[in-house]
Amino acid sequence: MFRRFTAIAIFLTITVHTNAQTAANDSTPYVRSELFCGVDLNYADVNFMRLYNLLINLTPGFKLHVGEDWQFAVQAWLPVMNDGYNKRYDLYRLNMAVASKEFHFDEIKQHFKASAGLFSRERWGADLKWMYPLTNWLLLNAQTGVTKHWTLAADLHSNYESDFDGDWVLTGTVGANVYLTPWDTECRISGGRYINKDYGVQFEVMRHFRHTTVTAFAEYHEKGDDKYSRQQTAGGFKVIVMLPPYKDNSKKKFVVRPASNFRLTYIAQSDGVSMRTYNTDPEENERVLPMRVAWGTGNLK
Amino acid sequence: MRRFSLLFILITLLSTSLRAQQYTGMEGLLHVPSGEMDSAGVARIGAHFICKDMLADRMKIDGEKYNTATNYLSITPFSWIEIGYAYTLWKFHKNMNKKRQVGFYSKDRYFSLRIQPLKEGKYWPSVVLGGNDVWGQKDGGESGSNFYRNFYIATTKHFDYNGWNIGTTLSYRKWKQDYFKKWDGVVGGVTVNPPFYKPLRVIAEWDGNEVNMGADCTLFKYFLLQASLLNMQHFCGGLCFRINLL
Repeated sequence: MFRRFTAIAIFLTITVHTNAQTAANDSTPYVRSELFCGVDLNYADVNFMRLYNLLINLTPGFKLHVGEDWQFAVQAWLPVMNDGYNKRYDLYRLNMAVASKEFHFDEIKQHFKASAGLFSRERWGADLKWMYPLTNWLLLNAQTGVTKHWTLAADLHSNYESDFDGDWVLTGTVGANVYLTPWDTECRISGGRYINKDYGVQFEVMRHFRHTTVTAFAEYHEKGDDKYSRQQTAGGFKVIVMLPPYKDNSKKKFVVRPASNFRLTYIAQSDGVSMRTYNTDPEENERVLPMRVAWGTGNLK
Repeated sequence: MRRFSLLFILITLLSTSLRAQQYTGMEGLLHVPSGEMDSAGVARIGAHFICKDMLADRMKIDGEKYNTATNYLSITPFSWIEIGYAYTLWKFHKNMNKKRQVGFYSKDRYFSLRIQPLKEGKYWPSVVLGGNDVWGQKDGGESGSNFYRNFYIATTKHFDYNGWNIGTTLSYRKWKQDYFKKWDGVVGGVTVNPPFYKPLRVIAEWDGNEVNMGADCTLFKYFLLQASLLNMQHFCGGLCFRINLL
């Protein structure tokens, strides 16, 4: 199986080099890097006799842009507070180490992003995203990936976790985004196969404000095996706040800054298993498109 | 005390206009919903102390009700719709063991929704349809919830009298739980914004069972402070961070 992944990685690399020569892009022509840190807030309402389980991590990360839309990113999780979550989250954890490359074929409105490495949610492997802005109000998108479980963490008392085992899982989603410009409102529908080999669909309505996006979403998925995944529906809201100073740092060689955003998700009737996916960028969020595409919010700060 | 309260109501009715049914994080009076809506883009986050008289019958500890608090988060994405999430802190013996200490170990969550089909005009009032605890567990769930479920239609009309902004609210509300039926029916109130200090709003209301008095005030642009006396006796109050995201 490892051989298969290696083949995929090599294929991606070759594709990257080939297309880098032909893809029209306006990426920054020199190497630049960014050092940033944010906060990851997790809270779970899974016990009637507790207010919330609470887990807060600092999320220092580093991005290296080497031109031609290449990016290397790494991020760690440093636990600050763990009240109710599993003790394993007390360890200092590598959250992500990813190489990615964007391809933009502007003439035919086709945009791709290929990533390989250690993704979030403890998945490693390869991922490909596609975006097609059909009109100024309709964008089609898809994602596929082949990933496997991983974890790498340690503390200062010789406790550690190291695991790169499990099955390869093929995931994939397709979706459509509709942007209603007069109301700065966006509707998204997507569905597919997720990392626990489950299937589902999600509908999300997003209201974009100047530096904040608030969304309401509903999910429908297949039933799981355990008693917590017998619900087939879930829903909730998300708040994505972009953090100041909202500066364009693309012309600076080295920048130290806060993370670009802070996210908060509330999901009711979550079984904690269904419709889980991973991120391929340390600062990925629902407000900003995962690749440089001038559509909808574009790449709002 | 009663004489002072009556005088206060009289002064309020003669002079004074309206803002938040703040313990839920939504627009309204004190304990009465109004036909007003917040500006589009406004988000609120805050905490509110509520007296034991507002507590659901199920929320007792050792047979007694207690003072508690609500926390909330709400947003008005458009000028015609407001959505809120709130929870009331709920006392229990730790791990439901009667020998162990008492604390706020649980909560009762609920969502609120308000929709305004008609905005206030020169000759007609604004109209809002809404409810608290509009979605969630049915009775018989682990918490046996929907304690605060109620639905209402509310109307509000404002008048200006020599710079005094006077708001009048008339609503009809229906509660689900029997122990809150006392607040069913026609409810309403009056609010006054004095010309000399517009951020202040004085409120008098009839909630179907008692008369409540209170005031709220916007401080430092982003904070909304509210204090009230339920049934003219029991203090409730809270602080809200209020920001326009547009």
